[in-house]
Amino acid sequence: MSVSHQKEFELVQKAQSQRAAQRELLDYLFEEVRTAVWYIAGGDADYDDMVQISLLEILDSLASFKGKSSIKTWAFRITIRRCMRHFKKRQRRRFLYLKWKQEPKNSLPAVEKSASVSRLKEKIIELFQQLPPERRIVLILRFVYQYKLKEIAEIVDSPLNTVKDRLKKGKKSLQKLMKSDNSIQEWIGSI
Amino acid sequence: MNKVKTKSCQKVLNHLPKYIQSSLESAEMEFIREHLEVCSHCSFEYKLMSNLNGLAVDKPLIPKDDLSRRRIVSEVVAKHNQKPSANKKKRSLQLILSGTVAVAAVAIVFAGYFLFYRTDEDDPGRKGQITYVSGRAKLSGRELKPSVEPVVDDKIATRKGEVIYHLPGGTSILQKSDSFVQINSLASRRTSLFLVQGSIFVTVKRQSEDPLVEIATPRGTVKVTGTRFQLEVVKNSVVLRMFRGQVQVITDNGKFQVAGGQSFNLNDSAPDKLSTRTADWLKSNFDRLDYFASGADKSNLIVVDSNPTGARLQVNGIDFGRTPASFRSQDRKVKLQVAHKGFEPFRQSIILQSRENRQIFASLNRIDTRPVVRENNSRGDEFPEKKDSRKKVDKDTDDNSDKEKTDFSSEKIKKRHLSSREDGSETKPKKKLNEYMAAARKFARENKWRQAAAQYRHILKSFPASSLRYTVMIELGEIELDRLGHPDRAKTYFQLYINTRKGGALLQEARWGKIRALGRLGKRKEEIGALKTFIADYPSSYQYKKARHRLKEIQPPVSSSQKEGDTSTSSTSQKPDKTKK
Repeated sequence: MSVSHQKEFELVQKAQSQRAAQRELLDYLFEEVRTAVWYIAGGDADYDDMVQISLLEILDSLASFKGKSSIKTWAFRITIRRCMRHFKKRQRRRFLYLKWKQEPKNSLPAVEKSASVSRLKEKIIELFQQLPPERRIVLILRFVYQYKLKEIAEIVDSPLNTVKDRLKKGKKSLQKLMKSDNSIQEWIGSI
Repeated sequence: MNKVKTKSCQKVLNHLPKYIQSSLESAEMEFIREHLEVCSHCSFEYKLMSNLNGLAVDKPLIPKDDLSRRRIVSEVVAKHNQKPSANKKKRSLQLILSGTVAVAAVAIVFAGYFLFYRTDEDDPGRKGQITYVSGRAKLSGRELKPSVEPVVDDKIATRKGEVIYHLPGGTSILQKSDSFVQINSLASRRTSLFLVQGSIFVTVKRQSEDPLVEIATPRGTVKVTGTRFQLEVVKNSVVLRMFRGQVQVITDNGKFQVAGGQSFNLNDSAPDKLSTRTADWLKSNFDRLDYFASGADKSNLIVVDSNPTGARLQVNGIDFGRTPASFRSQDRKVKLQVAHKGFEPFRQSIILQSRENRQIFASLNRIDTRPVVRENNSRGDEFPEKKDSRKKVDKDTDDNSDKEKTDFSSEKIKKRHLSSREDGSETKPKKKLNEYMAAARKFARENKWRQAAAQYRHILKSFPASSLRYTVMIELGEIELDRLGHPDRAKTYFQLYINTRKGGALLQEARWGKIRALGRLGKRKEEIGALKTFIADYPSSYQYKKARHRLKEIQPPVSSSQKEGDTSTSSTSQKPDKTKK
């Protein structure tokens, strides 16, 4: 672990000046970032863009990486924050200019169904996409990445109580969605 | 099932991830399992979490090739490396944009200030206030149009876009075409003008009950009771040229009294002397102003053209510019003169019917090159024959209108010969002194120094009693010295002035001229003496520095020989007396 940690740090140092190293670093972090963005905004129209701007943000703020955590964790946090910022900005814009325009309902792109993945998981993630972005992010951090509430508050840069509130409201609306969905009704009924 | 959250819920929720990974101690695992069975909150959370567990690592849901990694990475790297310049561009664009917006805002505020606030400030809340904008004024690139027609007795448009206003109370204003004047509060006792740009000629009738006229300019205010003057807005300043009377000027520097014959730059702290040329020019403009203000435009339109065009047109002795020209006349009788350099002047007296418009074409004949008899004019006025052939050219500008009766018409002629005169004509002059003066100055303007000098000499000879001769002496002296290169003659004239008019206004000029003439002649000793007395007498003059400099320059060779050959003038003998004073 420590060896790879050292390697990571060297790579970051190089990436601050060399193009090749930058490419290498991004290749290394790509999957991590893409996954995070996919969970957060998999059904969103800006999914592609968000991956790009997140990667760009990571490159731009490389200088602030101190090596206290692994580069992947660090990149993940930056990605989350960048995406949140993007959502906020877009919301403001929508509020100003496009309020009349209904935001299209998100739906995940068709996924190749593999036998190992249960239909249930897929369905839940799909339902996540219908929640408002801030709540969605908190739910994903909590249930997919299994962070503690304190950590979540740190990542999304909000007070703990805000995070708790979002989590609570997110769960509530998720339950509502589940009840209205036939395929999950069974599962929800068992609770 | 329990639906209320308890303290144990908190603990359970915190440990759920570890519980799912079953990395807790057995006692705690047991506790959580028991709690999950009773608590619906926690069980929902547990089910959700356990179901989604592993997604972050395995990513089974995510389509493998939905994004081309290579493309995105290279794009991002490229963007990252070119970012600063892009940012710079964006920033400079923003800067330009905000700059333009700011400039536009300032311009709007400025225009608004001039258009509305400024006029309000002049007369706050006055009823019946009239604001009038005329001329081809442009403010911030926008043409200003009259808002309300002013209450003026008369508004007369002359040629070349000049406008003459005849305001109530006997005030007349001639406004030049490029100027821009606001006339405020004409109905009130006080007439208030605002001269924004250009120049105006103002005549205010002196009457005790007259309303006070006040003219505001960008550099100060001019308060007037009765007078004639010109105000001109020039670059960064305003120039006031007083023709007659007196005005009070209020500027940032303080209050000043400016009297007739003075000019005043409103940036300065003291008035200047008006040059004779400027005074002449003012006079011709005021003559025209009087002419039009007397209602001369009312009736008849006369259009004058000539071949060749560009000839000087004079109507009743007043200069009306160059042909083709048109003017209006109330007088039934009009005397015209069309003169062009190198051509014989065309003169005609016309009598007009009421409301009759007339077109007049003057075909001018070229003057023969040999000295000639002048053509007879309509009035049969004959000019004295002159032996000097050079005088022939003078006739072009002769003007036989007798509109102005001068004091000199009946004056006795005392002849006083100058020793250096070569012109020996003895004829009694029929022309007026003023005409000779005008002709001489016209020659001087056209750089015909020899002819101007001849005119001046003639004046000196023919009008020995006139008060103007002193001025003529100085001007003649300066022409001889600077233009014709006869320092000896020049010295004679300056000396003549010094001798005949002790304590005159132009004494300083005369003495300075004499010093220069002496310098030219090479008479060092006399020059040094004259310089010393000059320096002593005029320590605050503008020639003082020059005099000091000159004295330093020539003093070392004090002992240098003085030329003895100066016998041409009789007046030099008086020179030493003067220097001793």
